[in-house]
Amino acid sequence: MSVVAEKPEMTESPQPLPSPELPDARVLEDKTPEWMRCTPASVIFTTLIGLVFIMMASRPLWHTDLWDHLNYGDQILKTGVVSSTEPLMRLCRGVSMVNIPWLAQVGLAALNARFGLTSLQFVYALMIALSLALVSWRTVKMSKSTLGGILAAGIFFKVNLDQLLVIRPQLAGVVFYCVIVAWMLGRNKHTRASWIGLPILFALWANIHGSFSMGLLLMGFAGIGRFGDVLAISKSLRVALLDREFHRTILLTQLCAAAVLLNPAGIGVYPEVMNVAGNPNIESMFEWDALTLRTAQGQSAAAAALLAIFAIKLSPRRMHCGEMLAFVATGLLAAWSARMLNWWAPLAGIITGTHLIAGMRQTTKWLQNPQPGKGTGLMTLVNGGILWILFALTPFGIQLVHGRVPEANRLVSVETPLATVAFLDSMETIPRGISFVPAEWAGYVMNRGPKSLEPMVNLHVHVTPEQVWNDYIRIINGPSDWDGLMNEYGINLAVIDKIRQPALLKKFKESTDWKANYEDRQAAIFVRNNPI
Amino acid sequence: MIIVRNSRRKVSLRTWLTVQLAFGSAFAASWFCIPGIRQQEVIARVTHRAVALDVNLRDSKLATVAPFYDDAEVVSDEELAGVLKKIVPRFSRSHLRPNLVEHALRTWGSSIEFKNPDAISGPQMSDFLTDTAKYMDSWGKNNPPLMELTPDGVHVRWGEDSSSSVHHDHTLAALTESGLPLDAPVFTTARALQVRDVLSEALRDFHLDERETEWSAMAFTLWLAPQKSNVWHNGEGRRVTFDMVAERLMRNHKRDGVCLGTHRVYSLMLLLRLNEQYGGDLITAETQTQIMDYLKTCRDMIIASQSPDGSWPANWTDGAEAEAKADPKEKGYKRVIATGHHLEWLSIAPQELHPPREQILKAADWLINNVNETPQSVIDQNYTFYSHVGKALAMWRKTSPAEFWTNWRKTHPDCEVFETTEPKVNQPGPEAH
Repeated sequence: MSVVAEKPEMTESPQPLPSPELPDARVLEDKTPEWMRCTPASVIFTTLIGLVFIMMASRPLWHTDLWDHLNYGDQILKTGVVSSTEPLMRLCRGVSMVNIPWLAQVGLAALNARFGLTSLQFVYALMIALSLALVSWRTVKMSKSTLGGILAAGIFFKVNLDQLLVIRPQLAGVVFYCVIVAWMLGRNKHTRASWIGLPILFALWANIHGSFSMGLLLMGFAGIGRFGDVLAISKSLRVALLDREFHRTILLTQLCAAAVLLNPAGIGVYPEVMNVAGNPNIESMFEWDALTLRTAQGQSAAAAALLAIFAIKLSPRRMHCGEMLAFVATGLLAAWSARMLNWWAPLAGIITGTHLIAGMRQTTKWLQNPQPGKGTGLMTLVNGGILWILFALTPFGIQLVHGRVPEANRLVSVETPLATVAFLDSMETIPRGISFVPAEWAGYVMNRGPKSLEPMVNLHVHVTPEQVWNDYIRIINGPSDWDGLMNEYGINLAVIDKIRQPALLKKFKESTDWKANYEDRQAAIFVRNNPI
Repeated sequence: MIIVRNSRRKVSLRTWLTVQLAFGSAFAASWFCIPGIRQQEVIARVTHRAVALDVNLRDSKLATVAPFYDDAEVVSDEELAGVLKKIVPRFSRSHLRPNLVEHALRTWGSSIEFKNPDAISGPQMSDFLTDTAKYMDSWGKNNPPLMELTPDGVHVRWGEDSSSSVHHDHTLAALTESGLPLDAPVFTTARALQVRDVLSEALRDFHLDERETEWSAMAFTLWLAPQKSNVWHNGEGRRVTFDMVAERLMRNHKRDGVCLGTHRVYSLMLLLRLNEQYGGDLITAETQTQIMDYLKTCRDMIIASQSPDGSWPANWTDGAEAEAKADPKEKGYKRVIATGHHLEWLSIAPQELHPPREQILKAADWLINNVNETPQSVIDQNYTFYSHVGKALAMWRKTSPAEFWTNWRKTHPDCEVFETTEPKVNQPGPEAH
């Protein structure tokens, strides 16, 4: 049906109708609770950190430490006991083991069992994102500059990148450490939240990673620093000694140190921290080597140190004693062992970001008179939207929302011996006794390979007997007595990393006692003709 | 400028004391909640010392394993006397090698008194090993002592150097097998200790993965079996059980190990016997089965590898292929090692682990003939290997060389008269043993 309307008569020239007046959004009241309101700057951080998060959450899981931790976690879940001796490796039987990261292992194993590897990628990326957020937040608070926060997070990420590439309980330690750094560099150190939250954090930390000791060290620096600051200003030892904040920091540190005792090994965790760092087997682990300029992370650290010194020199801000102590001490530790960069990088980022902005502010107009951004509900909404998008884009999000699980080879690093383990699984029988498997692969082989296969070592080198580890290190280099060492351990099956162990591969190929059962681009499997 | 903000409220004395109390109590409670061995580990790590030993050796008694058989067909009295005469320890007192003394001591025991002054009697041998002054008389004051004082006990110096013991815990095993009690004195350069301290140190510094565990295993079994201690913690806090020791002994290729892999067979046989003797709690049933399987494999190998003349070759682990795979340059003394050592463990083994009787008789005959035909000078150079021959043959008569010799001497007063009275020169043998 059509309706033909009569054409209206045009008696007068048409007058423009007055447009209806739109409501002024500005008069709407933002009913978002104050504490939930986000600033525009927070959106920048959510976006930037979110990009890092997406990148890390989509990254294949590194093949080394993870699988050992999963194996220990599975074992704890299975037995319900945190073993006081090494429970998995035959050659480590009876060796005393203070398994500090048991809770992280259990968490990882439970997540893996319930959701699979994508959940581990998600947690891994979340830890990194949280660390970046903490570093940025503290820097923004100190420098009152978004740029300062971005700089700090960037420095932290670049300097610590090598340490962040491996998924392990240490990442949770880095998050906790960043909390302590943020606490230490803040002004209100002794709020009710600190008195309750920090001991709880330390109790948790002591069951997740040995780096709680670094947190306590930092708290100690905070106390000493406060004492030093008061002494420097008052020039009176008495005043410094009677300073209330100094006293409170001591008491809080003591409470945190006591909270650490809430773990299965009790007081044993304290000497264990030193025991791991001083273990002779650790010397052969390259990541524990001294920091050197020959490596990318050494160059990043050197550049960051120079930038920090330049920023401090340029800055009108004065460094607090504790800040200085922590920066120098953790820097020296990082020089001693590259793995300690974890504890220097957050400080380097925050200090550089804060002081650089303070220095630039003297000469750069647009940085002067910073106005604190006003939080709004709209920004909270935007942040929420970004977070949802970020979540939905991760493999874990896709798995939860769409039920699509990526293929295994996209979830783990290319170095993971997938095909080798598939072959081992297809073998009818695994020769009896210990098997030679590269330590980096042992965890994966034990987790996904035949249960009867017992690798010589894994990457928990601090619980591996020194003689066993030394022999393993010798074997991988293909020494002339390699066969004697194989006999010594009664090894009947050997998995060789073709890329990293070419000399050993050659020895095996030349030997008439061994037969190659399998070979691909990555690995070769040899079996002894006459098993011991 | 530094801004120092001071909180308004002062920390009260009560708060201070409360936190100190909570802090101290937490550490004290944590200390008492952990097991004793964990406490020892904490102490050890803090003080950088070894973890204290958790085995009580105060009332330890020495176990003995009696041979099963008195078989004159294997070796007659005359034959045994002839063999033992050739291994009476007549060493030069100068630069006396501990390795020689240890072998002589484990063969002859610490009580034997030889009539011939050239021969070193049991007490002299044990004194040489346990008294640093006696050792220094032989090696001079500039030589490092054999018994080294450590913060926790006595360590026996061992290694390639001829003035030291050749194998880890070989001295301890020799002292143990010779019957020396734990309270026998050990004189170091600084103070007097006891054999008990040597044993404690050995238990502490024992590492399951060291190359040679045969003598440690033997000594520990002989001392710990009577008190039914089947577990201890070493100086690093590692929990060690006899099951683990047995597994370690069986782990290697059978051809590896000192004396052609025969010592570990003896140690395993000893462990099995002592386990049976002391109630069966020393090792688990699973380990017993594994040891029996291991020993049966050894039995099958020696059955298949015996040469027509009755000796066992160096490559006895090749079984039936031994002859084909034999090293054409094999030294003769290696057959003495293999044959002597196999007869030794077979003397304490049940019959189900024996090769056919004819093979044992042939092996014994070969050994007796070899000893009789070998010049004394050659035997002196290979004393360590031949001492096992003497001990093995005596055990097949269900006796010890000392017991047999003492009785034999009663009816044969001239048995300790030798053609030459010159003390022998301490030439090292072809290879350390």
